[in-house]
This record gives sequence, structure tokens and C-alpha cells, in this order.
Amino acid sequence: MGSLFRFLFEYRLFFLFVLCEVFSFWMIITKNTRQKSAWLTSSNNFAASAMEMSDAVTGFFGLYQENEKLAGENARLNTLLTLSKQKIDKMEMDSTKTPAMLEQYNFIVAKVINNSVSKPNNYITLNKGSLEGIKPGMGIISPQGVVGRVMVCSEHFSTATSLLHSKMLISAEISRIHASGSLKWGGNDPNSANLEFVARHLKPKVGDTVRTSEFSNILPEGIHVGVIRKISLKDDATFYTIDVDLATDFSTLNFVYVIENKLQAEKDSLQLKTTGELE
Amino acid sequence: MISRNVFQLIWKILVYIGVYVFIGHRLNAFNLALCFSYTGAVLLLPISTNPVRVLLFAFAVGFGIDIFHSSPGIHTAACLLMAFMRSSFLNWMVPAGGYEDYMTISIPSMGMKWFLPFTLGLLFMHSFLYFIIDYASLAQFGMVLVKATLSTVFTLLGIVLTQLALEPPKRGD
Repeated sequence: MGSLFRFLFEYRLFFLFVLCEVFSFWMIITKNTRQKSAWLTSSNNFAASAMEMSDAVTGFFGLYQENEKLAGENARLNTLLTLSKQKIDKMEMDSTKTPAMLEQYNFIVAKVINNSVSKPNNYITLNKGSLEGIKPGMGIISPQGVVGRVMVCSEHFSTATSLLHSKMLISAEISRIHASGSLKWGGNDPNSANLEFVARHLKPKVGDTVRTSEFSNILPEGIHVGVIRKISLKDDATFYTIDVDLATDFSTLNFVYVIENKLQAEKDSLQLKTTGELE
Repeated sequence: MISRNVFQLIWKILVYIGVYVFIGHRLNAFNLALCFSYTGAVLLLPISTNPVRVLLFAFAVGFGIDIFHSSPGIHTAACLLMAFMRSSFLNWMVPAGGYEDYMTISIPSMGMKWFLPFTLGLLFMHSFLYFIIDYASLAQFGMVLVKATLSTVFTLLGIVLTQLALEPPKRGD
């Protein structure tokens, strides 16, 4: 306290000067109309720029909501896109699809809140659950490509098996030659997986695109999976060994779409009935 | 007991302010230069005057002039700046051998080389702040500079003339 007073006393001239100047400027801007208006406008400019700055800051913190909104919009557009794709399909093969199939898929936006890529079996946690209409078994895609399948749902959260999981198989096909196989993760590199069961009489090439096939129970057909990186064929093997570069970057997953297949139950029960009868 | 010096000082102050009130404030050269000759009352106070007193005195003078002009604060602010800087100037410009008791702030006592930078510097600060506040914007900054410079010269002329009238140089000096 003493040193504070000593400091104030040391610079008493300066503080007195500042005090007096503040007082005179207060008089200037309160008693002189012209200076008052100038003060008001310049302070308004100041206020405006401050508002602008704070808007920029809150805008930055609002990016999350903005992202979510855009992802929602994306989901809506994706639905529209698959719808129109299916409409085109319908025009092409009019008799094969029914109106119910045209609105077969519904997209639900969710955010990935937990994720891993380095374990032998990787899981993803999503911030939406059964209240949002998510059910176990639904497929998950990202804007880039296939992600995985919902495993367990609570009311507000879901956990899903990532494609990077040893038990996860996805029906995929090499779209150029319509050669279907099963996509399975090798267990090491989160950026690549193996396409198995492609028969040796087919002629896949490096660079061919791999998409989900229409045999898939959980995903619509034609979802991007990746690109063939390496093909090898052993002399005694029945199937190719194909390495696929995955389109989805699992390490940066953020927003994903959970795909609701409205005809899933019907298809499942029919297949069950068939196999049940067969057994 | 008030000494003769104090009466003299008060008389000089009254003259500087009086010259401004009766003559100076009417002077406006080409609408470009004003004569703030009242600043002489603050500027030419004895060298040994306590800086805090100079500041308070400047506040009083500026406030009085503001009441006279009904422009509250404008002259006060400018005058305060000048008074504050005056003590710094005095510190920076200590002549070789320091200030002596007989020295006053005038051309005969300090010489042109000391007097001109001292008065011109402080007067410019005064007029510059005055015109900046008067225009209340930076849009006409060039005009502010021109007016401040010309007013500085004009004011100095007024102060020097008043000082000559108050303290005529003795013959033979």
C-alpha cells in the first residue's frame, strides 16, 4: 500500500494532468453540441466494429451448430438424390421396383463422439440413439464413403461397429465389372481393407472403384467404398487378393449418416422364413 | 506578507489574459490563424514554479477562457497539455550550468536558441490539440495542421509583443 502511494506521489503531476484532461474532455463532449455529435458518431463506429468483432467470435463458436445444420441439409439432399436415382432406376427397369422401394432409405445425421482406428476391433459412438429412430443393424456412411453398422442403441447414444473391425463384412462390388465380394478389414492400416471372394475368372484392375453392392442388407447400393490399390493372385487360389484404399478417413470422422432401411424388416423376415422353411 | 514579485506576477498574468480578452480573441488572420495570447500567462511563469501548481493554474486559466468563449473544456484541455509538457520541456532544455534565479523565460534572458524551440514547441501542442478538438474529426487533418502551425506563429508574435510591452529591454542591453 505504501509503495502504491509512493508511486502515485512520484507521478502526481502526470496523474493530475490525466485527471484534469479527463474532466475537460468530459466537459467538451457533454457541453458542446458539435463535439458531442462527433463523439456519438465515432463511438458508434467503435460500437459497430466491436459488434462486428464479437459477431465473428460468436460465429466461430457457432460453427458447430452451423456444421450440424449443413450436415442435416446434406442428409436431406442425399435422400433426395437416392430418391431420384431410384426413380431413374425405376424408369429404366419399370417393373422391378415398387413405390415402397423408391422411398426405401432415410438418412439420420449423427455426430461421432468417440472413435478409434488403432485397435484390432474399432467402435464408433454416435450422439443419437433410439429416440432419434436409430436401431441396431442400420448402416452408417460418411460423406466420403462407408463407415460401419450400428450395434447397440441407448436413448441418446449409439455404438457402432466400425468398418475397421475384424467381424465386419460388407457386400461390395467392383462397379466396372460388377464383380461382387466381401470387404473386410485387414486389421492394421486404417486406410485400407481387403476385398475377398472375387473369383479368378474376373479381370479387376488397379484403380477400379469399389462400391456397395445391392446384396447388402444394411447399405443402399452404390455407396462409395474405395479404390483398388493392389491385386494379387496366387497360382493355387480360387479368389483374388485385392487391397482397397478406403474412401473414408476414419481418423477424422465427424458427421455421419445413419441409414434407415424401411424395408429391412420385411426383407429380413422373408429371408428368415425362407431359410426356416428350408431347414 | 506578499512580496513585490508576487504582485508583479499577478499583474503580468492579468495583462496576458487581458490582452487576449480585449484584443487577442478578435484577431483571426485570413481565417487560418488565431492568437491564443493568454497562453503566455502559463508559458512564461517563473522557471522555478512547482509543476503541479503550473498545471492547476493552467486549468484555471483554460477554464476561465472557456467560460468566456462558452466552449467548456476545449481551451482547458489544450492549456493543460501545454502546462504538463512545459515542465518536461524545462527538464529537457536545462542550459549548461543549470537554471539561475535571475533567469526568466524571455528572449533577452535565455536567448533565441532556447526561447524559440521552447515556446514554438509548446504553443504548437496547444494549438494542435485545440484545433483537433474544435474540428472533432480527423477528416480535415491537413487543415488542422496548417491552422495549428500558423496559429503557433501568430500566438508567439502576440506573446512576444506583450512581453516587450511589460518588460521593455533596458537601454544599453
